Amino acid sequence: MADSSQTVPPEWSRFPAVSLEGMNELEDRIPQIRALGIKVLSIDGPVAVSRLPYQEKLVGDPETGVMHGGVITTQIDNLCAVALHSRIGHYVPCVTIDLRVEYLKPAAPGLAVHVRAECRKVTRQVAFIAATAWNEDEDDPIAFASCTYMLLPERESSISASSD
Amino acid sequence: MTTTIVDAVKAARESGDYQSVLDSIPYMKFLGLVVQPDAAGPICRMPGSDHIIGNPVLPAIHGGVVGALLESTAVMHIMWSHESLHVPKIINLTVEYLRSARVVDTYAQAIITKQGRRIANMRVEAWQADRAKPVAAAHAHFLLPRAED
Repeated sequence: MADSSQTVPPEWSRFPAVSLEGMNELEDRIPQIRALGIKVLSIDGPVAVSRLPYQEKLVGDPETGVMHGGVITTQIDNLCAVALHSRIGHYVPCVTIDLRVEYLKPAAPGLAVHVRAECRKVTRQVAFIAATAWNEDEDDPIAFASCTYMLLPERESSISASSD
Repeated sequence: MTTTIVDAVKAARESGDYQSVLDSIPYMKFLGLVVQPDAAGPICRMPGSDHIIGNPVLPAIHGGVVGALLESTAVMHIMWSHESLHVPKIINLTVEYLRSARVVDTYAQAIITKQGRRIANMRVEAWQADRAKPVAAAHAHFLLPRAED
């Protein structure tokens, strides 16, 4: 259950507001996310979904064609921040402090990877996010993850005003 | 005539040079990893480059890429330690982010904390200029193949 009823500190509204268009513009400005071709498909309160296309250059096992676990780690870490920002509604600066990924089974060669991340709890300093990854069927997951972010509201926003 | 990763691992065991093993794994090449021999196991170096950036403002390397470096180093260690001729399957990975990783050379080295017949427990650490100040550490479990062939 998400704690969407919980309010966040009103002073956080000084950070730019979140929108799906702005989110993908921002994602495109992160070199590693652009290099992996990750797109955020939806954001809705504490929940976000992204898609990463299958690419030969991301293969981690040349004998099977399975993508490297690190690619999914990056997609999950990134989407956890997206879900956190969507939950708060504003781009509060944050950093990952802990990420655990369970690789339930190999990602299928040739297929895109989808990730759903849900922000379960936000406090003034820490946020907890859970994520699931799958290829074509969300009920047949390839990975589970839990991620902890530290919030840094005392920092300057790293988002320029142009992202709206 | 194609060189398989098994051939590359066998050749590396003769020569002691594991770069050709690493280069046969597309994603490790994509990250630009360079493997350096060390008596305690391979040290993987990831050069700072634009495409691994996750925070363009600081700037800093993407946390997921740091996780990928740690996982890759554990994989190279298992193949170096004669535990597998194939890329071992990862079961889980927990990464602790200790410091922001600047966009410079990042190094990682792994140790096998417990080695069973089917599972290897690994600990991996990544550092930049000062090894005493790690930027991240991970523990992970890998599934080992049943037999070496």
